[in-house]
Amino acid sequence: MIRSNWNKRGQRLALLAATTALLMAASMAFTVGTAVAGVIIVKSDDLPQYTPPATAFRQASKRESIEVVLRSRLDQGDSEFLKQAASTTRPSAVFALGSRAAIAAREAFPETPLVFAMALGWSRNISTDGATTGVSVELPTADLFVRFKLIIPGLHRIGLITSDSDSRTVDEARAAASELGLEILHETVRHHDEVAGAYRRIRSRIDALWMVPDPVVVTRENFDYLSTRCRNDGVAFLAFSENFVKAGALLSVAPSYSTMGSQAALLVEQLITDPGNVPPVQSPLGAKLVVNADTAKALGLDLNATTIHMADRVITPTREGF
Amino acid sequence: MARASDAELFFFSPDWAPGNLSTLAEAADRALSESGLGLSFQAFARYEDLVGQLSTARPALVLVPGWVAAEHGENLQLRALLRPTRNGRDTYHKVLMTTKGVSSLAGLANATVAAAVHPGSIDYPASASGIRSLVGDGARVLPVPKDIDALLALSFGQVDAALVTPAQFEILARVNPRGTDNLVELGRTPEIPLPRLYATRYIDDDEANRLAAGIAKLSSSSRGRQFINLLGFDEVELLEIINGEDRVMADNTNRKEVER
Amino acid sequence: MLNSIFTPLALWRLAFLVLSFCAIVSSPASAAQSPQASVGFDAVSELDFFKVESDIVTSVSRHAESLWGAAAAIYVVSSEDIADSGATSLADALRLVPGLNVANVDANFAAISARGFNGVFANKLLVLLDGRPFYTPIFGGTVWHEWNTFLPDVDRIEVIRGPGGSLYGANAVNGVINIITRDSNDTRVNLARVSFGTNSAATTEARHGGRYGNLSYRVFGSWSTGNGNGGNNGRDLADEHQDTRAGYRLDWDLGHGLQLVGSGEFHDGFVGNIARNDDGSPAGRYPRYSSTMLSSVFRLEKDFADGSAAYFQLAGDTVDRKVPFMGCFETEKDTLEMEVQHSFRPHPAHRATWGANVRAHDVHTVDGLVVFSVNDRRLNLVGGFVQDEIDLGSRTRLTLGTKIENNGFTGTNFQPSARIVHRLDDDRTLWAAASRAINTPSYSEMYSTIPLFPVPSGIPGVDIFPILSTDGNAGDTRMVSLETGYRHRFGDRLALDIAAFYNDYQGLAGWTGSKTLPVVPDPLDPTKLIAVTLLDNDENGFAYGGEGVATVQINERWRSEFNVGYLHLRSTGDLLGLLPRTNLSVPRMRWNMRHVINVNRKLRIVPTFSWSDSVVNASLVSPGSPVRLDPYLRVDLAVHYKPGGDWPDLSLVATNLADRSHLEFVEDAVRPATPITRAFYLRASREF
Repeated sequence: MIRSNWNKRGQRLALLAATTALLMAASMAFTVGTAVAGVIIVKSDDLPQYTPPATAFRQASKRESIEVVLRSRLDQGDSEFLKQAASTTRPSAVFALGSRAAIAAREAFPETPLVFAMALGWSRNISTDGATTGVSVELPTADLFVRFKLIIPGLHRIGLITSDSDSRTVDEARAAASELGLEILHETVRHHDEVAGAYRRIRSRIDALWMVPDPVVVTRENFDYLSTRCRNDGVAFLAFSENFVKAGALLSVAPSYSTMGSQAALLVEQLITDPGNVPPVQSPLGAKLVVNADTAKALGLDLNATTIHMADRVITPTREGF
Repeated sequence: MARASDAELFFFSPDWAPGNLSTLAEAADRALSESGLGLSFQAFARYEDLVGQLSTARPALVLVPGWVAAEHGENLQLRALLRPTRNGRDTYHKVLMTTKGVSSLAGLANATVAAAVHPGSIDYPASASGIRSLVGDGARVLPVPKDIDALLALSFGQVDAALVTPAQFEILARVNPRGTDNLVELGRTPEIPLPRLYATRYIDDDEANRLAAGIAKLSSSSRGRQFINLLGFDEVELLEIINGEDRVMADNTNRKEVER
Repeated sequence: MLNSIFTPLALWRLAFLVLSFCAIVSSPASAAQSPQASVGFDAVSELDFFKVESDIVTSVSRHAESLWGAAAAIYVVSSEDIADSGATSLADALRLVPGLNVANVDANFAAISARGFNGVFANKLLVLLDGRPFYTPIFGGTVWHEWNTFLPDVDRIEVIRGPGGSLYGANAVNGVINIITRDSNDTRVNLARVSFGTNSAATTEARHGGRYGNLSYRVFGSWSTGNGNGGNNGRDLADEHQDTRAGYRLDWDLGHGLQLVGSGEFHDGFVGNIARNDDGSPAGRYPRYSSTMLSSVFRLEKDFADGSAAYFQLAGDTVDRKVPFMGCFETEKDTLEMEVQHSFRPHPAHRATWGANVRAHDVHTVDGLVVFSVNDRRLNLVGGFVQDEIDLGSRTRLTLGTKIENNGFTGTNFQPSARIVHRLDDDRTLWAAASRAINTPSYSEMYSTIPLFPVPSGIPGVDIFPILSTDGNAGDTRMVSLETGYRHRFGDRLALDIAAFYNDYQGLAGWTGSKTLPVVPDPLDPTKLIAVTLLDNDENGFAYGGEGVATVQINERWRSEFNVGYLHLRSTGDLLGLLPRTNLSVPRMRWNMRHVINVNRKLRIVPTFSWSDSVVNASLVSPGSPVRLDPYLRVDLAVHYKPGGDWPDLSLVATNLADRSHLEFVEDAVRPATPITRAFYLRASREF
């Protein structure tokens, strides 16, 4: 038995050594050789959310690519760090994930086509001068509302809480709502601790509360509060990410991060082949609908087979017990 | 929870969005354990995963589309057992939707067509071949997760056309009649067979027939009906009793349902 | 004796607290975001946003999330914690709190305090139930067993260790316990619970909840009885109790951000009582301690469209208790309190809150062996507070505030505080605070006279009867507190929360002997000599220590919490205790370890281990001779089984498994402690 374990361990060590050697050889080939043309995928951070679009991009794009994750450093700005990290590559285009990556990429490679994704409020932070385009994080509001109505046929009045600075979301929401025969009840907050009060002002008049990705509104505390209150007040809590649904929201409609990667690959191809014709920033085309069956039951919603078919994921009812 | 000795039923249908299989698996667990058939259920989101498991896990039954059965029919000695139906039919089709400004397929020669195909997988369901058969190779296929994504992309003017099931279009039209007013059907794919249940060479005929009969009866209970509905079917019909002499090579389920 | 407070060591400790805070705030880690600032937008928000999205369901200590950024030593006991522990009383539920001294004096009376000065009559901890104080002006503290509210409806218990006077006013000196019940919208389901246990313990509890339009409500009732630790040392039935309790809560959404919250409770019951012989030894049964209480609170809350919020609260209670300690005296108390509060943002970086309250207590006492020089008195209290929370950048918040209060005994006092919290990053928070708090005199400290047991005079046949009395001139106890704390989350598996403090007390109320009158013959019985000592405020002291909590998610099924508290308390002392006295009535070190283990979906096991250092206390029985309690380990085990379907949930709870019995508190000044015995109970509960 000891021998057998030792053999297994030996095999593992050999495998590890071989893998390490291969990796070293690969990295040396990259650093010693001349600069290779390819796409640089830049991540603002090592967030797990950046992985699906990066993977989908690589699958959809036939071009070589390297990946750079920005690190916080006191002695070096992001653009310098990026230039240094990508020194072995002659970038034909940059795919930036997050605003920070997009801004750093534009500074480091001002003439290179840039496609960004996963940038919250991109229009405030990222200039689209030159060969720059991207895929926004936000699904079109009308698109969202249609999906809400697919799951909640009786939906009529939607509560919306946003920060002062987010008037565009509200305008779009009102326009989309009128198209679909919905009504928006909007409350403004200036600070995250005003969200509970804003909810209390509208809770008796709404069928659903739509939580938008507003950094002022969305905090752990506010989510916990809104999730509990909505459930017990009979208000459908509509979120924008699967994790919120796991934690009790009724449903989420989130952009498909991997579809963003596929879209970005098409955009990169367009920019490289026809740099003079810069396509506009696109909305995400795919969405992921996740429904919490337990919350649906608490709200008295019927989740039939058709509804479940429309969902990408149904969080199943809490089973009895702990 | 399945018993260790349970026969296994593999399910793969690319019309099912990846990620929602856990709901299906739970419904299957409930229905199959209630039935006492001694059958466990495993659903696959990716064709590669199914192929990888077919030889190693040796499933007794598979519920797969015709093109998968054709691919593996000989090797697994597949025999068709059950024919599911939806709206009384055992086939379905997809329609190519576009906006009112486009009057012919020629107008979509270089169009962007949104369709629920999965670029990371080697399986190309009927939708992909349907697109090519309709608009030719010049079309750019923009893969989206589901039919509803394709329809919404079309209704918001982000793509030129969308290949979807008519049922999805009808559902959307009910919710958003104004948004779908401008959409028209430009063509449709040939009829695509629904997935069918096949016995594999890892199970004898008597046992296969027993299981098939049990599955056909699932609809009589509410849990069983829910399971069948979640598979995407209204009913399942037993085909014919098969004896050991007669093998159905399921290379084309439209061609021959039962051979004696 | 003041010198002992300002020793070089104490000053060094103070300097260390301040310097350590400054050092950490200015550390490179806090500047780690500077490159992001250079790109000209708030990248932190975007990353934070995605991190919130990731973390929302994976946090190791979700129940404490809302307090992660608080500039105080705060701990939250959640409703799940209470259910897990199998606690049947508030005192038992509070055993989970780090740094809180919880000791059962007997089966009914609990001594609870934070950071020292524990006792049945502990008076430096403010306790609130849905905003109304559990406060008796007779001794300035809480009679815990009278306020054992309906535990299934407790949403959470927030415990602040350290002063809260700048918001809550007098007597929030060493801590504030805020018990918050669940919104009645969350309890719109009926509940029935029954339990039976050793020592003839039995409890039945029921709740009904419902909703009419925008008004949700619940009503509850409970009845319990038991013989407590009966059977110990011949003190049969002395620990008995019987409780009848009923209450309600309503939450009425009046629309447009206006809501009315009302709650109230009725309690009637008695507990057993142990008499003493003339030498102070336990003798048998006294008449029962009985009490009747009725309390209610209504709060009208308004959330304004500009983000500001206000409420008006009206609370009242009436308590009638017969207290047969050393004879018998009775007290009655009626309280009426009005309170308003308003919070708003005068500037985006400021959140201001102000409030005012008026409270009136009507106190009536009937003399027993404890005699009051004033038997009827209205005590008025008027107060107001202001507080400003100032955001100094996105990661630092400074809170300045003060309470100004006028009471009928000592006039007007100020209780200011300054608190600062700095978020080093998403996972690390550092805070520090400096506060001044006041302990105002209680009714007893102004008007009571307590005869002690006689001591030999040296003259054959003549004993001296010491008498502790008051002259109506008691003053405030003043405390200055310096605190600091640090919280750190290590991924999803481990979270740490540590706090350290230094408290300086001036003018502690006690009988130091500075106001001792000459020994004279008793005017009523000239064969006796009496020695009267008047209460004074000549005792000073200091305390320092710290508390730490580590929460570990060992795996998906197993969560553990380990907490520890250390306290060094020293005062100049009085006649009842040592002179000077050290760590009187509180252990120097305590720790708790609790595991919550989900064996499977239906079975949960919760073992709790608590260790307490030795305790020394003064005694009226033998003034000047402290009594000592040995260290003890307490092991409790709760097993919860949820069979599902229509079956009721079952809980089997065993307490004190480590030994057959032990004392948790030493002989209190007036109340003998009884050993806490091993006990079991089985509970069935069902929601329908």
